[in-house]
Amino acid sequence: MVTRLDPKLFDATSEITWCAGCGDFAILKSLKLALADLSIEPYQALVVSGIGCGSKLPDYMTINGYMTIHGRPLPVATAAKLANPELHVVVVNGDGDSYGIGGNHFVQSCRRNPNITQIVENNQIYGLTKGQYSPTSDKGFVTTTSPDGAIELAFNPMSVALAAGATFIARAFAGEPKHLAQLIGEGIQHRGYALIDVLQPCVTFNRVNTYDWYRKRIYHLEDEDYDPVDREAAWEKAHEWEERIPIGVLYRRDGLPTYEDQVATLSDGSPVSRIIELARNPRPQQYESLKDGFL
Amino acid sequence: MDYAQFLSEVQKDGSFGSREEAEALVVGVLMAMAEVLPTAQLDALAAQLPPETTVYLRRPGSQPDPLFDSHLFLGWVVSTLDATGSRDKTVGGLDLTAAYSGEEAVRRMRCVFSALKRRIGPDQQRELVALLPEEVDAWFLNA
Repeated sequence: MVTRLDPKLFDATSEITWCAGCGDFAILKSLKLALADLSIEPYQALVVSGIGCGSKLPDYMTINGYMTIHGRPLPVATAAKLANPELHVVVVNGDGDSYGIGGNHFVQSCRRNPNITQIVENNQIYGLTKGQYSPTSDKGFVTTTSPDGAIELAFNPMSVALAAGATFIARAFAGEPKHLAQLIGEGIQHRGYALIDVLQPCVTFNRVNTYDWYRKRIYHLEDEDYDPVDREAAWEKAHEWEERIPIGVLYRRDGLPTYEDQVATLSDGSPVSRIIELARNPRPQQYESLKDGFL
Repeated sequence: MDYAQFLSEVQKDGSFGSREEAEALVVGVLMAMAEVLPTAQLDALAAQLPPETTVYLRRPGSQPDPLFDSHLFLGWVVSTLDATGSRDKTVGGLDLTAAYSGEEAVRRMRCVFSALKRRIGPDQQRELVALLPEEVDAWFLNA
């Protein structure tokens, strides 16, 4: 039996600078809970983030953390997973960092299927820079950089992920932290790339997509006769927005090899395990050959 | 019971410029309460309040989310504040305008709690305190 850890194990002493009422608090709490429920100790996990309000998250946890440059957490996370496949790697970043600046990495990660979990704090706005419209802002959304309303159509992460081959696609609502924690847990347990797009109100700069706005629209896929392995059904659900917004697991495909599974160099063990082995039994020529193998 | 009177009490207590502002606040607080209170307590509360508020004291799920905390509770209220209208005072990544919005939200929330407390008995108040999330219970008590 797996012993559940105390989520307090992940608490940190850093001062949290998120606005009062920010949905990021629920994401932080749910991530701690999911890790604790899965008995993953802080040293066994790595949280990689980018730039943005939500990307401050690793600083607010006692865990291995890596804040990368804007939009780059996915390749860094993939590299960390390749170096040490035993590590549970979680990416936490905002909609701008993930779908805008890091949009290419997002698509490539869906294709590659690395065994990592990505939690996107999707508040449909750039909050840290004081409220510019983001890739997921709805068409017509008025901000300081879209005074006449956003011209572009909103980026749909669900349909892009599905089209690009992601093997676990879920959507959650920060206003329901228990359900969110459950989805994060499922994402971490999924063998392959898992996307959890979290609808997360920015209480300071987004006065349209509030808790109230989401509450009136969201519904649970679990309550419907819905099979997340049905790709066509997932495609339909991925396009539901505005009137009704589904949350839960939209799509999952299990049993496919991960990116790490297919990297030939790893068949002799991961770089981390081989370095540990070399540190225990130093053989300089093997260190050089290990280095050559990855250069 | 008069809804206009209820809103007027909240507006006066919080020195809000308009009835609409008071109403948005009342709706935010009641909807946050609906997220955390069991149905029986919501029904009991609705019975003591103007009928116009009943619609806000409804939750889609049968059970309240046990992880719903004071941060989320505040979220329903902060959304109703005009926190972005002030001059940008960003210092080292900390937006002071946004930082003060929490204090302002608590102040405003207390105005609604005061109006609520005037309409419910001590037993029901104790019951609510026991069911509200940590911190929110203290805000309610001190209202």
